[in-house]
Amino acid sequence: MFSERKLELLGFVVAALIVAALPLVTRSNYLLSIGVFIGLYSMVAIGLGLLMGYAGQVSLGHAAFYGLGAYGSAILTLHYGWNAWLAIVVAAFATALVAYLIGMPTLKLHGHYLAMATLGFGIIVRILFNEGGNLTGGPSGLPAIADLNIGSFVFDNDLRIYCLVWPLVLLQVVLSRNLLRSRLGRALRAIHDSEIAARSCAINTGRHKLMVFVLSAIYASVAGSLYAHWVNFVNPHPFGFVFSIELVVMVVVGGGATLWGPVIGAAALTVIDQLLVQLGHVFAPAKDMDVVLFGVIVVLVLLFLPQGLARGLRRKGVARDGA
Amino acid sequence: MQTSELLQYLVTGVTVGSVYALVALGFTIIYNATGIINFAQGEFVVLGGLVFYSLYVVANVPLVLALVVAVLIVAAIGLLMERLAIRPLIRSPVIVLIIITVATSVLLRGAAKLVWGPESLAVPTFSGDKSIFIGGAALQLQYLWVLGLTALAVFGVRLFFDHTLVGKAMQACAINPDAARLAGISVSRMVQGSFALSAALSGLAGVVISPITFASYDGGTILALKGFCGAIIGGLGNGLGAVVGGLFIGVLEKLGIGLAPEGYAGLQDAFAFIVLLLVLFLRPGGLFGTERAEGV
Amino acid sequence: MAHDSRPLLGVQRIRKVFGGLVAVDNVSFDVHPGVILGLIGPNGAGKTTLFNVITGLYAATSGAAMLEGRPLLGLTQDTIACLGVARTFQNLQIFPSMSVLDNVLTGSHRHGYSGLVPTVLRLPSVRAEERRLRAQAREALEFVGLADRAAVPAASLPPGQQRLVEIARALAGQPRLLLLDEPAAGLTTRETEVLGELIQRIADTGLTTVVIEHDMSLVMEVCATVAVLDQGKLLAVDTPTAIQANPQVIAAYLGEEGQA
Repeated sequence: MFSERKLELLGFVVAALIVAALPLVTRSNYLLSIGVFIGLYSMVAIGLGLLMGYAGQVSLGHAAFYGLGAYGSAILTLHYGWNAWLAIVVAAFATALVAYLIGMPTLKLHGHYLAMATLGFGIIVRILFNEGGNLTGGPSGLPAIADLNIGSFVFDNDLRIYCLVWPLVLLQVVLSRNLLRSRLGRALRAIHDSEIAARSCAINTGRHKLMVFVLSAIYASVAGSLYAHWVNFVNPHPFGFVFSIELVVMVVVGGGATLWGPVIGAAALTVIDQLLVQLGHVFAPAKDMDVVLFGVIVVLVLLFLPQGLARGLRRKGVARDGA
Repeated sequence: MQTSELLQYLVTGVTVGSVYALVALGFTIIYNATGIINFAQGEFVVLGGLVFYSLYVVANVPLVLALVVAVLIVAAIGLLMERLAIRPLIRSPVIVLIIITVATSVLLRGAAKLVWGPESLAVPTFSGDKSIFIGGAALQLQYLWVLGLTALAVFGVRLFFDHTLVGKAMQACAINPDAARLAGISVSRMVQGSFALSAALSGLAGVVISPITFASYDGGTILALKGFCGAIIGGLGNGLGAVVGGLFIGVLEKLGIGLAPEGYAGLQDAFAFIVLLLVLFLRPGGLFGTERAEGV
Repeated sequence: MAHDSRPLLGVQRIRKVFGGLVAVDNVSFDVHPGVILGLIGPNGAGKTTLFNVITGLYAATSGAAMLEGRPLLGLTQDTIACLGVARTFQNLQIFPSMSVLDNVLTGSHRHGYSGLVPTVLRLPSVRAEERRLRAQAREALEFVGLADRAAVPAASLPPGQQRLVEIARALAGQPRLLLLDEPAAGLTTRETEVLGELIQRIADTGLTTVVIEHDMSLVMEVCATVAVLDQGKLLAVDTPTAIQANPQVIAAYLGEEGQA
């Protein structure tokens, strides 16, 4: 029998090998760019997974945090000439502050409130991107965002970005694992299991939920910044309600309360999406069916794998004892 | 701003506010019966408009018949949603219930896009394009339809809850489901009823507003949000509060546009949400309600 | 009763009204350091409500609760727990998705300080803290006799042992005041005996404890002081022997219910 720890290590090694394999077997920019998208979505979904799977809250506006990261980087580098890496960090801090302000009042209330507030927030942010005049470039957006670079090494193609994004995803998984195996992680799981008992253990439930919400916003912001520096261009289109919902679907499908669930969900959805686009070339209505299909997938997952979301997938991982 | 202008914003505000009020009332009815916030509420409005378009414009069904049938069809969709998506999961954690209604809304929206296409569909007004003038403000006849039918619906709901056996039973379920069950009331029937009624109200809103806003598959999310704002402002769970809250949002929104500097009209949708966030910050129990104890 | 020390817990004219129902009616009593106090009374007497008020789950209608002279009422549940008031629940409230050890570790939450950033980076300070908390938790598990079940999912234990997990979780926080809400509810006779012996050992450590219990023999055996509630009112606070002889108590409680 493998111990929990060895299984975890094994899972990590397998994932790392898969990630490393893609650029070795293909140099197709199409496939690599799909790989980058999966990586970026994974970065957002991992944070959202913590929020949904452990804090028991759902955000319907995470696309907005992704967008804030993207626009933050774009604006700071284009309009103010900042160093791109610094812009990423500052945009993440600013996004964290925004998330804190939204989460603070709503997370004290029932689960519906954060969902509705983030939904409204997402729409406001999208409107602001659209109406932001010269600052955001309006509906046509901001072009010519610089590539990232380290010294003379420029991340100017899909392969290089792939090699930047995926180590970050793997790092995120390690950080999540550290969090969940800690006092704070136990507090989150306790909140998930019984809020009353958690409070009786001196756990401030509101503050812990807020912490995860802010963390998930930071993850989304960094992913958004990387996106902006990768495609060198932002407009309001990708940061709307539909993307927020797709992120939720990724987490639901993969299972929020697991280390790799959000990554698997991100991969599954991106691939389905691409298949539909390809199918759309042959059978035109197919490309309009993605939304319906995602709706159906979520309903089916919830109906037939409700534990996948609520708590069940973690059950296998319960018997752990580090000593 | 001149008085006539102010009056104009008020009239328009109350009219769109009527739609928000019906949506808010729809939220409240389902919330009271189940504790669920139905994120697909806006889709009921959209479907009301689209179905009405098909009947009234495409199939040339007489006005009143088209209106009634459209409302009934949306009510049936509400029933179906309850049966297929909500009932199997009714005992799940809040987060699952939120996601299932979000998924349903996405599904309905996607289906609407496939059936009716992505364009906005024009629906003629019910009784011509004439307007009457009151104190310098133009009042289109369609506005009167909206206001009249909304008032009728709200009044009808009130009568239903206060004076019919089924209505009282639904209220009993909302107050204490266990006691209601002991009294021989079928709680699951009442939950079903709440979805049908709630969908019907939103469907009606969609029908009456369609000549003003056109019918389009993707308007639901924003309508749902504004309706929810209304419900929160009125104190979630309070039917009358929801109606007032909805009207309040409508008026505030139109006045906001009127007062906003040139070029910022695009921000009108942002307005309601800023109000929502403010209310959540300052008075989470609503402007009229008392704060609810939570979590125990 | 003669106690020179300041009370650890002072319950002062606490009143809790639900709608029109007076659940707790002007109840006052003191719990002195190191004392184990039994809180008894018929069902619906307001015992659990009183616990819920003291721990911040319910807001009191009026009155005060003082922990070493510091007012508790008005504070949130987690703040009160943070001050060292630990409790168990009448209907078990373990964390079902977690192992026994993780359940107990959660009880020592208030003894950890690491923030988010050090935690995700697993800095040496975090590891040291984790080791310290684990030692505390293992000690608590050993104390209740569950050391060999540490790695087992808590939900898979029989109810009697789940109760012990809950007590260990409360003890792991090294509280100043322990509130046990009907710890013997649903236990077999054998399990109740083990529990009685455990409560005795808790008393021997000098931990101030209030225990709500229906099992009179258990109460009479382990408690130094007994307080009787009836219909929200405090009938008497006295030694077990005096309580058993108190005609008011016999009339209101023992006579009526005749519990053993």
